[in-house]
Amino acid sequence: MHPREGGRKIFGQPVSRRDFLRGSAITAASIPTASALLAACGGKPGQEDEQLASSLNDPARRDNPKTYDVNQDLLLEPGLKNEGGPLEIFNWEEYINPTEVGRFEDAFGVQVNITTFTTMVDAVTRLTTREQSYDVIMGLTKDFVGRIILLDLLRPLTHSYLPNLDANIWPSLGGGDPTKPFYDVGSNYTVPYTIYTTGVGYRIDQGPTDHITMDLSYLEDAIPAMDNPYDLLWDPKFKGYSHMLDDYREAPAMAMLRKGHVDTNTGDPAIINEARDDLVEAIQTVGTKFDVNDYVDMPEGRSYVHQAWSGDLVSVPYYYPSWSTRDQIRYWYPETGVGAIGSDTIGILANGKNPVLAHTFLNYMLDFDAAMRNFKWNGYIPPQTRITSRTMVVRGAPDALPDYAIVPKGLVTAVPMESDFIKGVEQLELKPEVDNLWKDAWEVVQTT
Amino acid sequence: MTEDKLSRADRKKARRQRKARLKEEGAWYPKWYWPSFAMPGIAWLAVLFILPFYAVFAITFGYVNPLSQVTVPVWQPWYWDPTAFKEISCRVVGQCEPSYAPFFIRTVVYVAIASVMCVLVSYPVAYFVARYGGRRKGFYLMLLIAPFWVSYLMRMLAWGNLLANDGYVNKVLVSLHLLSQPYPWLDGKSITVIFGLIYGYIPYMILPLYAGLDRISPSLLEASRDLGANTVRTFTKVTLPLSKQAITAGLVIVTLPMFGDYYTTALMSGYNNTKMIGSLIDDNLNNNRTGEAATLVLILVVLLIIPMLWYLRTTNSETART
Repeated sequence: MHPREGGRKIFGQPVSRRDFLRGSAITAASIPTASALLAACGGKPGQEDEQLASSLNDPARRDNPKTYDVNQDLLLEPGLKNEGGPLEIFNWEEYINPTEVGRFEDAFGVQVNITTFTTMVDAVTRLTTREQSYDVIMGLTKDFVGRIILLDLLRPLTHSYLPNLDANIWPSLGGGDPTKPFYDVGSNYTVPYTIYTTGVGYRIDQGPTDHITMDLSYLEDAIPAMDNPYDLLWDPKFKGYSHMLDDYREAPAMAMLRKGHVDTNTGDPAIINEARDDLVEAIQTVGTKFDVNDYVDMPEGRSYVHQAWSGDLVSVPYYYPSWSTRDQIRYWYPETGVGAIGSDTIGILANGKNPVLAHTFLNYMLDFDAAMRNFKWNGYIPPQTRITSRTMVVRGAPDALPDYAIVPKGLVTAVPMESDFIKGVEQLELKPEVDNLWKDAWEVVQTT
Repeated sequence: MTEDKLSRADRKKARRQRKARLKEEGAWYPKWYWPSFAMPGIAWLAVLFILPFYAVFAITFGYVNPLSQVTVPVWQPWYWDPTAFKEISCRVVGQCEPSYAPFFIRTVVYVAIASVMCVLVSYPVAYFVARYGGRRKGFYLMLLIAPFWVSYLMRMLAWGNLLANDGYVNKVLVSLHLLSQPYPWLDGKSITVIFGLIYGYIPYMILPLYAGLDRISPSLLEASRDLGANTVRTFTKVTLPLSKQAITAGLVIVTLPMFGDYYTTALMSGYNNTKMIGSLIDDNLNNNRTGEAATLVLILVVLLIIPMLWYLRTTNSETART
């Protein structure tokens, strides 16, 4: 073919009409073939998805407790012996004390492997694709408990293996009360792991030199006295040093609470959009940064006010540039008790190979000493009945437990108690269309 | 017509004779022999590029399981749902809210500045090593590769500490009275992110530049000087044109990953006002919107095809010329 004949050129090289047609034909033929090969792997949503999803239209609430049917095929007989392991645990990163895992290994002569996930959807994706058979899922959040049970991913619990549940755990979270907890009545599938609140962390020492040059110690008395301490996160004085949690539920929920909207599971677009606009205002006026590094940013001076999880702030002393018993960070949670509160759970996975050993592990984590040693490491307190006052885990308090009093004196408010759950508001499962409203609002915040 | 037939017969005969001769010499191979060497590469591409790329399409046009919130890929094109694709495309062109246009513009600006700076900084370094490295070339090359020994993440985290308000950079600048007070480098400053990009990707620019400059024969430079060209003219008329391919290769190597970068801006800023396209993809993934993230990946691929085509065209025309 002569170059002047005007054949097609691909990347500067001449291509004959025959070559081009042949290539096109191969491509055209191969796409449906590939599709056919891959067809077995997926398809349009079936009736099953839609029907199961319809059960989310009535999500669990305190005034609408949920009891999930026990799958008898997966229920273990009592009195079985532990399997030989290894026990496969699926967990958030750094959410269990490795030393405690080692103690369990020594006590029961088994190996424990931990695999981590980054979000609950990441966890569910990997569980539904059955990438590996895990035995235990830890840190299962309440907004996913119902979903994960309906997806048949959890094994029902045989309570005869879990004496520590009734012996040690708060009744409101299923310890000895078969009508609780509201998100899984009778603890058919889950046991509680940790509890936490979401509030405002703030520093009370000298501010950074460029914006905040004053002594911030006045905040210690000023914050509790403020009409609305949430306003601290919108205070231009902290421009560049005000951070919020990078979470599509937590940050808008706090904006709602600031405006007095206590239903933080709302599907009202007006309230959701108001929260969105308030967060956008914070970005524009205070330069708010969104992250989940409250436990590092505050001691290192990257943030001076930070929306924070209580458990993260308890760990703060470990994250000062050098080890310190400094007590320069405070945590505000509404004295009225109407603040964001939550708890995580542990469940046993349906396709695990060591279901009896998994029950043994759950029971171990519900043991008072094991749970408290875990608290010493990750800062998130377990709902143990023997902790009857906040000060029992506060350093130097008269009733402090010698082995477990790790909380700095100034952070006593970061220790949630069972009574906080009476008025505290929890972020729970949302209907799919409501969930999308929250995500749409959050996307606007993230792209401002 | 007859001549044609005859000549065709002759050609066949000649081919047969050649084949017989080559067989005799033990140098004949069947037609499939040499192309078969490409099979491992083709299989590699098919498994690790074409199939995953098709998976991105399947996710882009898939659906979200309302119960698990997991994005389900739809493999059959006839079931594809273009809703997410349309929505994201609309945002990219700035027609729908929230607009993604500023992120695309910002990414292009950051990448353009960082790439040009990479060339400007790398060229003299590579030139020095190639021309004047002498016996120490190996040592200099080792120094250039040294940053690769430390993880990119760790290097960026280290810069995070150096650029902190109480970090050494601010301490030095304040003590030298170049600043009256610490500068908040990490508080959403474009300059810091661009600096991070330059710092992170510069070794990838130096190496191809060095390889290109080292290949230029010194006799060409001598010839230029003999013909009366001064140093500047020799550089602009000989060295620079001959290193054009190396510059292009270096630019492609640094710009392609820069376009998808999200961790540099996350570590050096973390603020919304410095987010790049990669940050949007990351945000969507973190918000369980995998379909939207996959759409952005496809759009990014289309965007990246432009420099890729330019590179291939430049390389092909350069090859044809030489």
